[in-house]
Amino acid sequence: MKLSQAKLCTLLAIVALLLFIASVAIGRDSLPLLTALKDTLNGNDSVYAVILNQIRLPRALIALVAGATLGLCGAAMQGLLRNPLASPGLVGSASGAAFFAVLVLYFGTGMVPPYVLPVAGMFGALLATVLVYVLAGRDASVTTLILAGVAINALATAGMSLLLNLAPSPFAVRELVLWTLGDITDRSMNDFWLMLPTSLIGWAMLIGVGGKLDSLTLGERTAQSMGVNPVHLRWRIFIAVSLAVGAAVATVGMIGFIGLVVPHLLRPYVAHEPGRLLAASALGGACVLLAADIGVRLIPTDSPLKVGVLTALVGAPFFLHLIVRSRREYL
Amino acid sequence: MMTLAATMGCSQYRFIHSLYSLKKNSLKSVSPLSGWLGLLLFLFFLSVRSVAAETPQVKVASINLCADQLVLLLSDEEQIRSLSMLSQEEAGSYFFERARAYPVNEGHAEQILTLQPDLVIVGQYSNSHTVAMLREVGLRIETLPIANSIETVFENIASVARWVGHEDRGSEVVEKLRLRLKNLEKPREPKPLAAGYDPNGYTSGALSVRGQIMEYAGFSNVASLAGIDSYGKLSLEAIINLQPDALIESPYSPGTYSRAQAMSQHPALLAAGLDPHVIHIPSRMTVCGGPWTIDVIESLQAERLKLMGG
Repeated sequence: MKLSQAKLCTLLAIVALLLFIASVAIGRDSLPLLTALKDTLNGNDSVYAVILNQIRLPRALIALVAGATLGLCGAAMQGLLRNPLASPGLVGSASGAAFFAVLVLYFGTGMVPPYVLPVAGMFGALLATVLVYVLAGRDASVTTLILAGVAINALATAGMSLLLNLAPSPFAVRELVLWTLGDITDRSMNDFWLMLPTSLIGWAMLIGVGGKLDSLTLGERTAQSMGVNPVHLRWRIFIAVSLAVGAAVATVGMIGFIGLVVPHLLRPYVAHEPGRLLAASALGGACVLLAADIGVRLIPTDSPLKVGVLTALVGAPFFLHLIVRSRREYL
Repeated sequence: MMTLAATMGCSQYRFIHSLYSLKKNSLKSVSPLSGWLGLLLFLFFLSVRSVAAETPQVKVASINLCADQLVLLLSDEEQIRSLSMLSQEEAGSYFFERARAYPVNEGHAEQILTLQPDLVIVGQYSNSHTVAMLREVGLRIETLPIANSIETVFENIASVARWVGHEDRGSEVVEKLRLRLKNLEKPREPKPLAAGYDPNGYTSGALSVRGQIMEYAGFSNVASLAGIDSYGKLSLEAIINLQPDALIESPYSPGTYSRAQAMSQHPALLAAGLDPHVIHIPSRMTVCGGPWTIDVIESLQAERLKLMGG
């Protein structure tokens, strides 16, 4: 299918905008939207206005930013590693963030101010990245980098398991496990403002990476001859992904499959060019997370469904479908 | 195997409620005596009403199962705006039937906010994002600690009573419960050895409500011998080594496969010549602490006598 980059991005942006509005409008309980909007504009602090501004708006904003981060970073990682199975979790920062967040939940429930959790998560993401850097060394090859990332992932996961194992009561276990499932319920504007700068820095570092990723598809040597410094590019993408994904995971927990599936989904529409995929994938990721987060509010389950569970449940079969379809295309 | 009768609830509260309704009824029945007297009484009644209106009742919402039950125990019907979904579950909630009369919430900030309660009671492990959000929009939040001892159960009853504006009720319940605890028959030696047994071998030690229940009922706890203070895992080997006379289970999904029953029939235990007596307590009486905790002690005492006799 042929679509110009501008058309594709506009289309995705419109879908994302519609989903964003839907996300603000739809809740588990209905909200008189007009009244809420009027109260907000008049500066009237009614219950409806508070629900709109302080509960639904941050939720939709966080879904937008976190989804875009996951889609963008997934596309960047797949482009850099030239491997369709690469996902943003590979650099270790996601599990580093999750480990530190769980650590805060384990030791400080109810005793620390609420912003400590995302800040600790981001610190964990940075620490994991620094460890990967130290382990792999400055001039590391892609393989070494991945191996270091996998090792850090394993270490952080082991740490989380240890905390679960030592948890003081079944209630603590439940809270720790539920946090790791990924959820955007009841996040506040403060959470959004905390995640935004780090996410934006990550995104900004990926601006202009597209052309280099396109050259990289011709092979590392050829890319080098075209003026791309592979080591430099590698670190640039790794650090960008660490920052952005770390911020997302610290705020919403582990949300799987968006970073893996969305680039796959959109690749045919950008003529398989990794450079063009970046922006499209960011918008696509935002759409998918917004839609999934609307889904968890609409699906009537007894205990509230976590958005990370929904993305994995829908994502895995969808991924299989993509594989089957691509097999048919290659035959 | 026995089942504890879920009878004793909050009879003391029905008593208080009946006192209130008595007062109102007597006023109503006297008022039509004669014109002036009637008017006077009417004015008096009005003034009583306006005094009541000056100190409005705290409207309360709870998003924690244990808080739900204490709220049901200690507040007036019209105070309760919402309880957690779990409050209506037969397996976990002692007052599950009474809870069905109230709206329930899934613990989302949005739901709680639309109810406009004066007070939200949350648990120590309630979703921290939700709690932070509710606090941020200016609701009064109180956190109910997890009860690790019968003393904390009493403290929790007193706290909830104070929060919902019925401190007197709280102290009355606690006083009665203390009296019942004091009047328990002093357990005589020898104390049979028992283990609390939850799925996958989890057990409760001396620093937990269930551990203290066992102590009060005159059992000695295997967990203490195995070095478990509050909550931990009891291995099959430890059970064989320590040879408990009884396993006390309280499975959350009754009627399904009982782990303690299966454990008591484990080939290794049978080979070791052990056949522990399995005591079953409904989980709605062990998930949270409350006045029913004392009922559990009393029936475990009876169970102990049965065990010693047989």
